[in-house]
Amino acid sequence: MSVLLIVIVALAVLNIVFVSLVILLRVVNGRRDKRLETRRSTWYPRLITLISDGSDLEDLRRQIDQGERRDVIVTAWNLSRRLRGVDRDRLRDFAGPLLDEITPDLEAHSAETRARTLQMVSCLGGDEYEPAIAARLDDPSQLVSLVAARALCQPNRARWIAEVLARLHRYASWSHALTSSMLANVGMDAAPHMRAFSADVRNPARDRAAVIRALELLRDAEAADIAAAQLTDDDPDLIAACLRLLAVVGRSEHAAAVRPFLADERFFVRAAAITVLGKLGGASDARMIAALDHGGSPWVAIRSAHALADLHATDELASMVGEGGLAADAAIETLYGGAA
Amino acid sequence: MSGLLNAFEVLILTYFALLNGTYLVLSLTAFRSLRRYMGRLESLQVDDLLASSGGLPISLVVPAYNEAASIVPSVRSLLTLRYADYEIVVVNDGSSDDTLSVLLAAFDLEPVTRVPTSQLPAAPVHAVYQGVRHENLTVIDKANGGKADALNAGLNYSRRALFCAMDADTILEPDALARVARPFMEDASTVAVGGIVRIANGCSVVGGSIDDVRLPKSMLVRFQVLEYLRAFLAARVGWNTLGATLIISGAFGVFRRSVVADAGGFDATTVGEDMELIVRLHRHCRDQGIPYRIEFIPDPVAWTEAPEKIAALGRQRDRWQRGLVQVITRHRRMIGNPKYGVVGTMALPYYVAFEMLGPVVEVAGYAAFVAAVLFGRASVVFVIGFLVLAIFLGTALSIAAVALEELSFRRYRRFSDLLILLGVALVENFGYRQLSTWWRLRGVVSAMRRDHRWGAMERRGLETSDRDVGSTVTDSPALQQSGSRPSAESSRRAPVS
Repeated sequence: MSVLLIVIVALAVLNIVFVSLVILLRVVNGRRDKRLETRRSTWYPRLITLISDGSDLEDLRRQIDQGERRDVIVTAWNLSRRLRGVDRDRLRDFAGPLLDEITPDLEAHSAETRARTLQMVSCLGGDEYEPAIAARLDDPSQLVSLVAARALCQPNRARWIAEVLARLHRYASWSHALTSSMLANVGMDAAPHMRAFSADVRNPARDRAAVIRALELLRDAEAADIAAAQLTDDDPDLIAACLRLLAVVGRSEHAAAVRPFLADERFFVRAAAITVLGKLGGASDARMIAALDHGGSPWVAIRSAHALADLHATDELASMVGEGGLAADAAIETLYGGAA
Repeated sequence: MSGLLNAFEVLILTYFALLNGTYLVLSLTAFRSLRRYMGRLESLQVDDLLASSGGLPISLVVPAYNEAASIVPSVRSLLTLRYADYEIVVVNDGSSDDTLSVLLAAFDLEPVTRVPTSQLPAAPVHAVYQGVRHENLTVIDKANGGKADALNAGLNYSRRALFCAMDADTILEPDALARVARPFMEDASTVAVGGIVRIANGCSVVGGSIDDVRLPKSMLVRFQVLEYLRAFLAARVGWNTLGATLIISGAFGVFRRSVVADAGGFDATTVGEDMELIVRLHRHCRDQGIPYRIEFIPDPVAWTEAPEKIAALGRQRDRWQRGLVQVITRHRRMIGNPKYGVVGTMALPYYVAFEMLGPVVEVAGYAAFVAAVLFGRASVVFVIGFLVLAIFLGTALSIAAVALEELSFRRYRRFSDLLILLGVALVENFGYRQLSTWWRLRGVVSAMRRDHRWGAMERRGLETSDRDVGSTVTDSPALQQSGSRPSAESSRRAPVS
């Protein structure tokens, strides 16, 4: 009985402590929010003025109290993320000398703190910080490595593309879309490196597929030959990526390498090949596509109809309508823009 | 007799200790996870991620049954979401009101031929319409079949790699899709992601968005607000950390379309189709050797209206419990099976022992204590003491959930709302919890009777301005320390069976 009483009293005390902690948390958070809002409302207009009228950088920096340096950096960072070109450069010129305040956090124990600091440094820091950012590509935390890679994959940082490509295996779990768009963000300056990477069969097929997709996003015409050459690989994702690239930048001479894939057993490869031939093929390809058995795959039927439309093969499209079923619906959808 | 009673009391006490121990562990795990997650959110801004990658294309599948009053503003609201590539597929599930005609008139829809991209079982489709001004809006008109059936039909006609299952009157925050899509980008093996569902009663809605978050005036709904915080911020975050998310609310979940289609889509024969799908996805992926992740993340928010009448709430909880029993019975082979990892060895046994049988044991416990007093085996003081202990423990866990909200998202900005929530944490122990147990017990009984009725749902509607989102309302998803069930929408549907 006494044990029960002790437990009850202990729980009552625990509840009181919990309630006190929640209220304390609210008070502390409220004060912090208020402080940040006050500083933001002070510094945001100043930084806007700095961008627009060219206030003196040193003079502005002198107005920062020692205790508010971090908050000013965060305000500058939040503004800078929405800016490009000279406006961002101007903010960099202002905030760069302040970054010593936060760079020790690049070694913080918490991966989230390292990642956040890395973002601020990469956004507000100049070229001198790039080696430190690149070093974080090998950070034990994947999050930090991801942030570092994204920081280096910027249009003005193409010189780091080889470093990022060398570590693509670290990002194997990402979606292709994320990896590819990150790489494409660097722009055409990175294309030669990416072409070389995707042509090198020693690199993992998955990574090459992501790079091929980035080249597709860049509409890199010179990558078409490399993609056509990769079609001999066994990896279906790589083949599909190459086919998609050829659909964008391929030339008619690539059609021969694509035709065998019309018979591929994987529907997504078949569908991609049909799209390519719709762009690069001729009348004989139209007849082949129309004669294809879509094998119950709606995607293949839809792509076939689209490809025939691309080839202006109206007779073949009409024959698809006559087939009835999935093929007919796909043809009608394509012919009439979906209208029944 | 007395020996039997003694053994039973020990059993009940052990159960009580295990149950609360589990809740405590989940809350502590959630505390650690939420802190890390908030740091992660700050370190990898969603806007930046999407600005560079565009995000994966999403089909929003919106089942609608007799939603004539609210469907137009709901779709308008969905058309304004901040996301690069998405389509809206509204499925008119054989409504007997003007749902279809108001849609046709408001969005200038015309009939189209559209090739279905999968053949999941669903009631016959009468027609497919597409928006002339909004090409990303498709309306499917079909025979009534229930929510799961409507979702399957929507899935058959959706074209994007991901699809979002939601209710017609769920209000998604403008950045909800962007946030919920992030795990799919960061890990290509992600097959399903659920966001948090919050209660919109009491909040003001302007232009299809929640404008001011406030606690509702109704005490019954306040209890539910607290339950949602416990369920989502403590239980789901906790289970997610252990890699055993078993419930993604039917009001807001995003799935990889191809995997769901391969697994057979939604099961229209259960009243717990949302949980059933998740459990089946675990099973399908494990059986097929497919690497996969199923995640719950707490920052994408969907707002929904909770029942304000006690009878409606009772029916909802009854149905959720029935859904739970159906799902567990259907997938009983997974329970305790190491082949299914943490899901088989920890999560499902937990759901059986504490969520499914919880109300049975609790009621038996009350009876045992009464019997113990009557037989003179326990003093009244001891029994009262034990009840006080249970109340304090329950209160502590609820306050911990409020603390988790305070540590993370702090949606209830008014200090008065915070104090009310803390008060509700204590008050709910007197009556509401016992009622909830009774409803769940009723659900277990009706599951044993193989009752498949949805039950009617009365809705009061949200206070809105500019638009009338809440003239009808969703009854919500998953609750209790964990167990969720079919979404609300479905509750308003005509019985299928």
